[in-house]
Amino acid sequence: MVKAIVNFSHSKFARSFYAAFAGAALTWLLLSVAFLALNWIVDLADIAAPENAVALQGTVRLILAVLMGILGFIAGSGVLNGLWIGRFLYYAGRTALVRGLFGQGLVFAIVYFLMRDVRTIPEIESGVTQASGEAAIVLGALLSTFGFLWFSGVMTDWTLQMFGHHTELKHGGPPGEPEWLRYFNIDVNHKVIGIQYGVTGILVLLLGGALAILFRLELAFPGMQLFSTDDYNTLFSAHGMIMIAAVFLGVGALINYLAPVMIGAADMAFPRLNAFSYWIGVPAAVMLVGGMILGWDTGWVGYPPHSSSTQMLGVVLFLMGFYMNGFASIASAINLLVTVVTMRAKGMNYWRMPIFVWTAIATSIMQFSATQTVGVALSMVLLQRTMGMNFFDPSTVPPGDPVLYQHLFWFYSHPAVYVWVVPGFGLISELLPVFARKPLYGYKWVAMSSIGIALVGFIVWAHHMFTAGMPDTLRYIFMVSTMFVGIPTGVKFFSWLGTIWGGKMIYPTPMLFILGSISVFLLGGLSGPILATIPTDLHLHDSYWVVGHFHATIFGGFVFPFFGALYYWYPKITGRMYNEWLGKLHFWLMLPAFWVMSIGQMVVGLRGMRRRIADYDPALNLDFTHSLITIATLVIGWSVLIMIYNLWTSARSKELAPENPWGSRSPEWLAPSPLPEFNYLSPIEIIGEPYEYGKDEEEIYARPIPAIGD
Amino acid sequence: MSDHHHEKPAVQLHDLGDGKAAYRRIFLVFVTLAVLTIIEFLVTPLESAVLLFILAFLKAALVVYFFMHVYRLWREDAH
Amino acid sequence: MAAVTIGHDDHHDDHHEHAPEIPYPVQLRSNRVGLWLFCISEIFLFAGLLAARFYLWRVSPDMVASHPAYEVEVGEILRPELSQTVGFITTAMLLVSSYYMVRAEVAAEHGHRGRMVRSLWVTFVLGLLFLLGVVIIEWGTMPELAQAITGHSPIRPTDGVFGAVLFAMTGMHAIHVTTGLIFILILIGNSRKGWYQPGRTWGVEACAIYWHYVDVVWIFFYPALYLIGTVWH
Ligand code: HEM
Ligand SMILES: [Cu+2]
Repeated sequence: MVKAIVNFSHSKFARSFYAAFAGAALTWLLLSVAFLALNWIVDLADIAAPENAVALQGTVRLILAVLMGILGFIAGSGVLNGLWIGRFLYYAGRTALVRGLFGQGLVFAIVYFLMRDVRTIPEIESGVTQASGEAAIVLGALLSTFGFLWFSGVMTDWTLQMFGHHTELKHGGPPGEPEWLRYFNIDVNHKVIGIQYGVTGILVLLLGGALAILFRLELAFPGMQLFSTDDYNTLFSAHGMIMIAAVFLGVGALINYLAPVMIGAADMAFPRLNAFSYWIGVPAAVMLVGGMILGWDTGWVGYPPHSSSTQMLGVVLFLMGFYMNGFASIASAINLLVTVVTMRAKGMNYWRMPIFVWTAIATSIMQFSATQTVGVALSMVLLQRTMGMNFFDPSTVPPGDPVLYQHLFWFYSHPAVYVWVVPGFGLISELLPVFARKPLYGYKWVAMSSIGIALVGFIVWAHHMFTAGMPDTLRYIFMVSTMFVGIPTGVKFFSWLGTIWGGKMIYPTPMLFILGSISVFLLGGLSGPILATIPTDLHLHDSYWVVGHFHATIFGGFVFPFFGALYYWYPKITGRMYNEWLGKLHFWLMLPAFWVMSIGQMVVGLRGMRRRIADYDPALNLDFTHSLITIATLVIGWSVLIMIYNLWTSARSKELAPENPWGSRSPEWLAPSPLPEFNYLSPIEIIGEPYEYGKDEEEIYARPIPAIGD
Repeated sequence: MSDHHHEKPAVQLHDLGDGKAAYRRIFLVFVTLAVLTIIEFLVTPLESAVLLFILAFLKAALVVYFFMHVYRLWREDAH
Repeated sequence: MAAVTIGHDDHHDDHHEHAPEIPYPVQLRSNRVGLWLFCISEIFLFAGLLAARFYLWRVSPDMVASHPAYEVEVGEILRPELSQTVGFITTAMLLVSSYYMVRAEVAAEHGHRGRMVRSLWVTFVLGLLFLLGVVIIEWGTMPELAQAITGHSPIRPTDGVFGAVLFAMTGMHAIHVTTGLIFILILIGNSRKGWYQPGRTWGVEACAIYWHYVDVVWIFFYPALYLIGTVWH
């Protein structure tokens, strides 16, 4: 029975059908976006559009979508593979992505139309949520996640096991199909998954960046030029959440790709769960984008009472999308922790692991635990909206309390902000010794400081709530505990300085990004304690100073090191070398532009600019600085496009990269590039210390286990 | 859930015997838990949240140790 | 410890080769560590709900002013009026089910298959009764029945913070009980196909750990919901 369904979903007919769906849906989507942009421009330019323009657009979209659907059905059999579009649709019908999206759409539609008129709780009077079918949206979103998972095939093996079938892990690409199709299908290899995370992360980063540029254009001058205030609210809310998703994806990419190789394993401990963690992020992302389309105005924090009462329905999709992303975080964190505990190579004891693995552990400790509490917070808002259950409204006896939400939210989200930076710290510590040709200064201290940051991160959350009406004693406690973060962070800075000190430094692109990230993180790190001090925070809270602070921490802690890592491991991942000149250009555009942007934000914040606001008083005299920030944003955007061009074109070059271009000691460079399916050609063992750079060349760190009798 | 029925036991089996001792042990733990639950119920009029929490932690510890045999995490072959 | 063993051929061909075999003890250890980490992760979920319970079910200044008849102080812990009988019986059922679950596990490890399946069924039935007790009586899905058994009209999710937190806590717990029940059914089904022979009992062990975990959660929820605090009418 279950087997039959699985077989049917791989039949010729099903594939043609999915190709048809891909053609129709994609056409619909592209035309919708195109018409949206067109109408927006027409609106801005004050051109009188014909009255029936919208209806006409609808008809055109429908007809074209149907035509493309038919074309897709034909192409699905492969007869049109001579044409570009035919090939595209043919392969689209063979991807888990398309299958999953179909399943998600199908389940959502069924649930929504069945449930739209059902009242969840008879006695709810308040019209808002019931009349708009909001409960149906929530339930539809929840079940549609399963729709995605089942149709895409992530759950197939587990489902078969439940029914007593024996399943084996399938390795390698889909039989008879080109290799690249792996990346669009369910694959259990940690490197494939790492690259899936990475590419998705970069795409999501571009999307979030595009949104930022849109609303930065609005802020460049006082007065409203481009958007309505509601649109502005949606844009900044979506920007925040989508960027956070991008950072999580990037962290997932780093950890998945690097950690197993670095500890000498062939894969993660639970490869299927690994695929699950990645793929559940897709329906979650669909929900976030859906929330953006419906409009949502709560920012990424979603504080009640606003989130529990706003009429902008997108908020429920945002809450659901956030919630579903949590599953990914928890599952992948558990997977990583288990992998480190049970899968290390011979001789790879905890004190000999590459330092990045330590930061992966620290990150996972925060992710696998704290994520649960934000889930509680988010689901409470959903329950309050859709079921009339009161957690946050103070009018009942005993009263509800919106501050409860903030506690639950920040108990997660403060550790979460460390999740965004700790892996980056690991990259800095990992690369500095390579490029300074010196041992990492104070390995054990650095390893422990990552764990220290993670643990201290659990007891500082209320520094986000100094103005929320907490008891005074709590404010003092959290001010002091926050200052303790400085200790482990300071250890890291000392270690970096100690490593650089007296080193024989070289400056290829990855090293530039690493050094740049230290400078940027310093800016963020120094602006933090000023916020953690109650009297100053009372003035700076909710101002652009905070915006400057967290952009500096996230760019310094994640974006710069991540880009550095992309360049550094590029030859490992692709076997080719990137273009050094373009890489340096990217860096020298992005670093100064970022400094201008971040310091500019702090400056306008000090001068009275509030955050999350579409406009400002011309009398504040902020125009010049705001315009400067916008220009800097554009420069950053262009520089990232240069990187993407560089990475894309270099992958197609014929020339192979040297085997170990950076002279690294790390074990991943013992294996060929790109890494083979199971990483090492033969098992490796660890016989020395990881960071003995610039010393006796004889001191080997890792080597293949010699054959018996050697 | 990766048990394959057709393969021979993969974990070294000790002489497990007929399991009488194991059955007796879990039954005793169960009785203790039941008694503790009744105590919880009876001490409610004292209105002591602390006492109730201590009892709850005690029960949880018994379940975690004897029923969930958490020690298998570090004592691997202790079945 | 060498985690994996890989083929020794020098001339490898990347794809479609055999995955390095992971020895069963290593996989078993991974499974155990993973499941326990999952349990720890969920502690934060249930602790979040407990935090909400103790945060919201308290006497506020308003309440003291408007209910002078109550001798309560601001900040004192409250609880809603729930049937003690129902609470005690459902708790007892979950506890007994836990015992039968561990019995099933011991039976599986000793190869006593008949006893294993029988114990699993008992666990399943008791778990189901617990679930029905919560859903039908405590939640008042059948209001008349609930009224008849408990003697007062059931609390609704819309009844202020009492209803909200009660339903959130019992609801989240009930979801876990339901998945546990499904898990048990899967075990029963697969054991008919000869799975879970001695030495290969991870499936039973996993289900048992999960089921006990759900019981442990209730060990804390029971006093938090039924026993701690002053009853507020
Ligand atoms: C050096 C240690 C740090 C300290 C003392 C610190 C302190 C603070 C404080 C007190 C706030 C609240 C400001 C307010 O809303 O009034 C804040 C906001 C924020 N911090 Fe940090 N922080 C530190 C590091 C970081 C790091 C490493 C990140 C990582 C990405 C980060 C990301 C954020 C974010 C995203 C916000 C804004 C949250 C929001 O309201 O949307 N911070 N920080
Ligand atoms: Cu914080």
